[in-house]
Formats: sequence, structure tokens, C-alpha cells
Amino acid sequence: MEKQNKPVNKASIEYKNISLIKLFFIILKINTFTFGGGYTIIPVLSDEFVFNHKLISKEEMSEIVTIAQSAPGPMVVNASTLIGYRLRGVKGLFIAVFASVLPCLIIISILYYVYNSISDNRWVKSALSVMSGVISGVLIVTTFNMIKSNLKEYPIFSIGMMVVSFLVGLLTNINTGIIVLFSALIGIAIFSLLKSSQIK
Amino acid sequence: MIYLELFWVFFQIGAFAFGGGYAALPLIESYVVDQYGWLSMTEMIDLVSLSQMTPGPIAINAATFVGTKVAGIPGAIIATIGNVVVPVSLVSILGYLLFQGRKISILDKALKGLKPAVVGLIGVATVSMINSSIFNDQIWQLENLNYSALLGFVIAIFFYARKKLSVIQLISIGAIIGIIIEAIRVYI
Repeated sequence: MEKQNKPVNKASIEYKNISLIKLFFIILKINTFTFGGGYTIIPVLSDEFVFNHKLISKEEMSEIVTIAQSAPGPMVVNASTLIGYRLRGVKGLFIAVFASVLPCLIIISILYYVYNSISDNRWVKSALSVMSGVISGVLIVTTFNMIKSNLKEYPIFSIGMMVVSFLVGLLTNINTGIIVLFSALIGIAIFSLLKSSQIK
Repeated sequence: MIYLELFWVFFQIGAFAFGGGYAALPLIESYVVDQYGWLSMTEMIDLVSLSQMTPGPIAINAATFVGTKVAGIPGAIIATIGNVVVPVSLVSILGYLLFQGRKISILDKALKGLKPAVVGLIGVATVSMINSSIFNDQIWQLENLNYSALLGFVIAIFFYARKKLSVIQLISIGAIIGIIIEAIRVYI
């Protein structure tokens, strides 16, 4: 415990160096110019804060990413939140959240008005039609990749959860949020009642 | 009141979207398309393709897009705030505990159940997106095939499964093919 805390405290003195304005602009920049969301942005965040500005240690960054992934919601916002909090406390947290959603708010609200005015155009319609096929294809590949990576640990349990949630989602009108909640409860129940080695 | 509804819907989408990027899709479909009818399935698919080419996560893009559509810029801001309330609070608590050197094992256990279940739900969203884009919502009837979408679908599976092209590249190629198809229709 003692050993774990020491570098953290030492580092927190260093953290005072970044101003809120600088924090805001770094996160704003990363969120404006990183396309594709999710996992593509993590190396960029880590480059900026760990290597360029040397504000966060490598180990802390990987812990931040782990938490960002285990919480719900967009990972970029989660990771930015933690970085802001780590560097400048609660003020930093709010600045970081604001900076991480601002590019989206501006770009997508403009995009909405553009989409709304041209989506009936035959050329745009034709382009969107092929794009809709592309995104469906990308999703099916992504789903298969996710199935594969979920089979690495507890394959029988994972297959069961996947099949049941797929069927319940497809065939019933049960709210998706409720299915998510139930699966969390099942996870907690099974992994609390049984030992990990008993679960296949 | 529309602002409250927007806030509440995206609050739930933010709270339940465990498991990264596409985890928000089944929730957006269930709440925004099925329950509230704020977007048609076609609009949702367009939004998902377009948000691959713009910065920002799908859930925030959806919050802004739907918020703007339903209640203008204030709607976009409220939906976005709603979407981040739960994740940001939870992450702060977890971060606070982590920086003190503690771990929460109950969340790990919950995630073991959540991760595979979310994959199943993304599968459901994928099925409805394929049905809407390729089958024009006619539930797997072959006479209603949308051949442009089918072409995009086949190209995407072929190149994306082999990791030859990125999503952004594939969607741009899809747009170009769509314009070429329309040019053929118009001029030939």
C-alpha cells in the first residue's frame, strides 16, 4: 500500500503545472481530430499526456484506461474525465468533460442541419444507401470479432449469456436497459456464488 | 416536457452502455427508434455511418443529432449532458477509489455478465440494421432487396474481415460507389 501511494503523491505535485485552459485545449484538440472514436483515441491520449507533456505516468494511464473501459458510456469521455480529475481535481473534471463533448456538439448539430436539407437528394440518397450496407457489414464483422474475444474466458458461460440476450432482445419487447441490468446481476450472482475455477 | 424526456432517455442510454463503442447501438435503437420514434431506422443507420466519419463517440453523436432534431441546440446540449451524467459520476467514484489504491470486485463480476450479454444485444441491433438497409424493412423478403446496400455490405465484409481497409475508408468508398450507381441510373 505505502509503496503504491508514494509515486502518486509525488506526481500530484507535478500535476499542478497544467493550467485549466491548457487542459481544456489539449483535450479539445484530441477529441476534434481523432476520428473513429473508442479505441483509436486511447493511444493519442496516452501520447499527449504521458509522452509529450509528461503529466501522467504510464502505469496510471493504463489504470485510467481500465476504469474508462469498465464504466458505461463513451470511453473517450470517461478517460478524459479521469485525466482531468487526476490533474486538476473537480474543476479539471468538468473542464475535461466539457472539452471532450464540445467538438461533437458543434460538428454533429451542423451535420444534422446539412443532413436534414440534403438527405432527400437522389445522389445523397444513393450514397447513403451503399453506406448503410457498408456499416451493416462492418457491424456483422465487429459482432463476430466480439464473440471470438468473449470466448477466451469462461466460453460456456459467455455463449449462454450471448445466446440468451440475443434471443431475448430479438424476440421479446423487454427494454434493452433491463436486459443489461439483469446480465450484470447474473454476473454478480454467478461469480459470487461459484469459484472462478468452477465456471466453464 | 421534451427536454426532460430527452434528458431521461439519454441518461438511460449512458447508464446502460457497457462495453465500448457499439454498445450504445441496441440502446439507441430500443429507446430512440422503437420507444420514442425520434429517428426512423434509416435515419439511425445514416447517423451511425456518418458518425464513423466524424470525431466523437456514437452515443454523444446520437445525443446531439437527436437533441437537435427534436428540440434544437438546447435539446442537443441537454441530451448530451444526460448521456454523460452516469458515466462521469461512476468514473469519478472509481477513479477516486483507485487513486487511493482500492479495487471494487463487484464491478468486475458484473462486467463478466455484461460483456457477453452486450455482444448478444449488439447482434440484435446488427440484425435490424441489416434488415432495414438491405431488405428495406421487409423482414428478409428477397423481392425487396436493396442491391446498392447489398453491394456495400459484401464489400465491407470482404475488406473489413481481412483488415484491409478501415471503417472510414470503407464508408467513403461506399459513398463514391453510391454516387457512381446513381450516375449510371441517370445517364445510361
